[in-house]
Amino acid sequence: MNKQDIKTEEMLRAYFSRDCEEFSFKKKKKPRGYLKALVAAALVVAVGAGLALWGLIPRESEVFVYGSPQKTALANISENTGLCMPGGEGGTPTRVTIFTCNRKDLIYAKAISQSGDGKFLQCSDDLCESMDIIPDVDLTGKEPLREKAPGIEEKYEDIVSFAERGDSDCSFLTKNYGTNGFTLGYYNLEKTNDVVNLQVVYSDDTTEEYFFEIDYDKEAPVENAVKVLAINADTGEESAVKVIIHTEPD
Amino acid sequence: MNKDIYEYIEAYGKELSRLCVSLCSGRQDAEDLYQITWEKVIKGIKGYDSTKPFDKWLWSVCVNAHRDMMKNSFRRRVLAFDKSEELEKLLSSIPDKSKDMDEYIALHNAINRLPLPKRQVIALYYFKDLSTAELSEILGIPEGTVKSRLKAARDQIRKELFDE
Repeated sequence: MNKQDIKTEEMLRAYFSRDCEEFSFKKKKKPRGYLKALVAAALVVAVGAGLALWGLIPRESEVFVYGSPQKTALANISENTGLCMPGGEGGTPTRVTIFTCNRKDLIYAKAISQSGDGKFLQCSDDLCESMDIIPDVDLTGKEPLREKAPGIEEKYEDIVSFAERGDSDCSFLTKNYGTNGFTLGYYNLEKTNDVVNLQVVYSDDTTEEYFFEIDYDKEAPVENAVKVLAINADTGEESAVKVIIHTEPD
Repeated sequence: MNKDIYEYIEAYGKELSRLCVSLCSGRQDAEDLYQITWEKVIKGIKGYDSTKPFDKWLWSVCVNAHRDMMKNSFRRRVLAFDKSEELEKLLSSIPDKSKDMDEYIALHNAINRLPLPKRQVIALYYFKDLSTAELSEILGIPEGTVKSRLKAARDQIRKELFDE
C-alpha cells in the first residue's frame, strides 16, 4: 500500500463509521421524498410546456437526439415481422431499436430494465462479421454469467445478449477492443411501458449511462405509438428520441 | 416464532439507519429507504428463516430495496445531491479529529459517482466490517465479484481524491 492507498482507506473507514440519527419507522405511509420532488418537477414541466407553446423548445418531431457523431438514436418499430424471441410465450411482433452505438473502442455494455424483460443487445449490422464478444458477463468479474438464450444462435446470430422475463439485466463484454458496436433494442412493448438503463464503457475509461423511458400506446396510430425519452444519467440532459417507423417484410 | 416487528426495529433500527445513510447520497433518500426496508420486512417476514441471522437478512432486504429505488430515474436525477448545509451536517460526525472537510466532501462526491454495484459493495463493506464472504451472501453475487468490485471502487475513489 502506498500513502494514497492508506489515506483513502482511513478516510473511507472514517466516512462510513460516522454516527447518524436513528430514523423512525412510520406505520402509516408518509409522502416520500420523490413524491415531493414529483410535485416540484410537475411545476417545472408545466413551465416547460408553456415555453414549448411559444416555440422556445424544439418539438419532438424536430429533435434529433444527443451525443457524439458516432452515435445515432433511432427508434424503429416493425410490426408483423414475426420477430418473436424463441421460448418467450410467443412474444410480440413489435420491436423497437432505441440506441445504436458504433464506437469501435467499446468494451462493455449493459442494459437493465425496470420490467426485467424484453430487451436485447445486438451487434451493429455492419460490424457483425468482426464481432468478437462475450455475452452476459459481469464487468468486474469478467466471468460469463450465462449462455445465450437457447435458439438465438440459429436464428438471430447478431443478438448477443437477451434478457427474458425475470432476468435483471443483459450485458456483454468485448474480448478485444476495436471491433464492436451495438444496438439496444426492445421487445414486448405491448406488455409494459418501461425504463431501460444503459451503461456503456469505452477503452479510454470513459463511461456513458442513459435512461430510456419508453412509452408505448397501443391505441395510438402506429406513427405515434412509441415515444422514447433519452436521459443522460450524468448530466440529466433529456432528449426526445426521433422515432422512425418502418415495416420489415415477414 | 418470529419476534414482533417492533422488537426488530428496536434492535436493528439504529444500524439500519446507518446502512441507509451509507447507501444513499442524501438524507431524504436514506429516510425513504429506511421506511421502504421495514415495509418490505413486514411483508416478507414470513419468508424469513429464523434459524439464520436476522441482521444479514435485513441488510439483504435493504440493498435490494436500494437497488429498486435507484432504478427510478426520476429519483436519481432529482434527489441525487444534498444541499451544502445538509452535506456539512452529514459529514460533521465523521470521527476523524484532524479532518479536512473539503477532503471529505470530495470523498462524498466520489462515492456518489460510483456505479450502483460498486457503491453497494463499498458501503456494506465499511458499514460493519463485513467479510467479502458475508457480502457475497447478502448481495447474492460471487465472492470474487465482491472482491473485484471492492478493488475497483477503491481505485476509482483514490483516483478522484488524488487526481491521478
